[in-house]
Amino acid sequence: MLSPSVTKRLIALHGWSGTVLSILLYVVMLTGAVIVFDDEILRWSRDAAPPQALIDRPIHADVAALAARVPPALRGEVLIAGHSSGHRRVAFTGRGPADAEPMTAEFLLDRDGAVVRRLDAPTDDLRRADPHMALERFIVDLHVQLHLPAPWGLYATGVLGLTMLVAAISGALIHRHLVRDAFLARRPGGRVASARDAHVLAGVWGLPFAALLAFTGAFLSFALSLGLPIVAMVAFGGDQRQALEAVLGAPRAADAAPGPLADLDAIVADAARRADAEPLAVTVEDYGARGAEVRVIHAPASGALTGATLVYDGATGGFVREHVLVGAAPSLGSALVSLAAPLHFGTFAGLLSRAVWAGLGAAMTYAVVSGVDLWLRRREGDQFWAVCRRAMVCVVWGLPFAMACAAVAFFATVGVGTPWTATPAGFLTGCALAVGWTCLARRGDAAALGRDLRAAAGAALLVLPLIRVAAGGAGWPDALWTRDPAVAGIDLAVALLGLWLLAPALRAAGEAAFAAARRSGAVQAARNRAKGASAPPD
Amino acid sequence: MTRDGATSTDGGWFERRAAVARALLAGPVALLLAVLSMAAAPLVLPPGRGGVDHLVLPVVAFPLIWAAAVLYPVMTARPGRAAAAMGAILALELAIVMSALL
Repeated sequence: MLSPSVTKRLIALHGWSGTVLSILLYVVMLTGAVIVFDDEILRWSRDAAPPQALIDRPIHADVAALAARVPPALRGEVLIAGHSSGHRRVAFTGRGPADAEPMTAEFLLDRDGAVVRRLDAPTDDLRRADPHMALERFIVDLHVQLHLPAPWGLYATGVLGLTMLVAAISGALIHRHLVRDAFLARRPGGRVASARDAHVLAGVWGLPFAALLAFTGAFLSFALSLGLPIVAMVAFGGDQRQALEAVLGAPRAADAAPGPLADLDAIVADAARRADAEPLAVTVEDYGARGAEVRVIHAPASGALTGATLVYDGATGGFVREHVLVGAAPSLGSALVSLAAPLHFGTFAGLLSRAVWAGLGAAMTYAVVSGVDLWLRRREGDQFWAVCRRAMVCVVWGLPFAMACAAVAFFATVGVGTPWTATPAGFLTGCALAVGWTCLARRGDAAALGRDLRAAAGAALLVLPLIRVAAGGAGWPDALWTRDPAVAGIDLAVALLGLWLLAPALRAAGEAAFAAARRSGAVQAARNRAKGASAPPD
Repeated sequence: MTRDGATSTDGGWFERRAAVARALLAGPVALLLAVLSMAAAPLVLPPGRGGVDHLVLPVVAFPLIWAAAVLYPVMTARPGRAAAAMGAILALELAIVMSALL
């Protein structure tokens, strides 16, 4: 049992840790809840065709035909995987000197094996060369590093993860009756007590999830930006490449003599049987050499959190070993590192686990917002904190509005090839409009401001599917029957979210209209009564 | 002085001093302790079966060590004892790191 003074200090730590960085924490959490569906957002951004599974069609002949079309210098590594456009992706990447910029030749193949696009570019510029990735990358970068330059963005999101971890642990410690609080009946009305109940409910239910997300998020942010340089400094004399090779493994010294590649389709079939899971991608290192190595990457098998990567001898097609993410053999360290990403992104059980993660992420976002709102409402008598509350309301509803504006700008420009600049410009325009409205709105009531901005976000989301179609995207009959289900699914989700955001404003408008109608009816009735009273009796 | 490090008579000064000490320990000192833990641990942990546990586990544990170092001075009744404990850990970690670098 904690003493009252310890509880008091923990409440202060809980309040300050959640409040000081709350705006940035809210940005990271809301975008995190959205970007759980980054794959679907990318397919929606492209009007994608239904996705091809790796085992839908043989790959060996495709790869052999394409390898003949690229220079030998680009055959260092071959990647065969699905693509968000619904096509099959085969990418050849060169492995030149360490200081040279690697180049990639990327092919997209349709279901008949015909090349629908070839792109030759420096490997690091491949994404940038694809205009359809602008919206998804914008949201991912906002979540991962708040669009700050490296490594400061990763430091910032790492500190936010730690802040959330401290808020979650202190929240667990100050709630003496967690089970009872989980079934708390929220008191009605807009009072502070009601807001506290809502915050406690969302916080208690999301507590384990918040701690998990905060811990894995902080690890993912700090691992390469801070952990690697420090470990390299003390254990490898500052040589980060040597530290990375110690953890991930040194480059193979393969036999470079020319040699045929074993049947990739037989390897993929054998790997699928061994892993008892769907193969997602195949890589071939040193393609065309006797020392080639094939890796088959799988989705998690039923009941597993991580997918297996199986390694095969490229010359004989024989199974060699299961790849370990870090280190030479399975160990506690490799198990913990390989769990971090699936537990953070919720990718271990397909769409279902990602949907649960998005829902829990939304609940934690609500817990952050309701906690800060509670903290600010208790101080609303002070002018400074009243201004802070309006600023918080502006961010809470301005962010979804700005994200919707970014999506509108993306769809309006993706056809003309400038979405990489238009998407952030649309976001900044949305931010400026939200801030401008907050400054100009004469009503001092934060609730009314929130309703206005919420309605704006709802309206922007509601028109988004219309703009996608108007900008040349697939129409709904096409989206429903011939396209990837993600296209119609995201359209529907965006429209429903828009309606939900618009609902309070629509309800208020309806009530105002009803009240006006009642008033005019009452006035008319009063006039009629007055006429009746003044009329001479028969 | 009470167990919370404050006095009941002229407690204002002691309370402020304890609050400042807690803020320093939970802020910059906690960060320094966590970073130095990550730097010192690879030099003392065993590499494990895969040969990387001593490199990977400190990085994995970094957020947990930092969170613990933030919470400890806030929860303890005696910030002086927390300062002594955290100072001793810092000195030990610094000695390990310096022995590797020099």
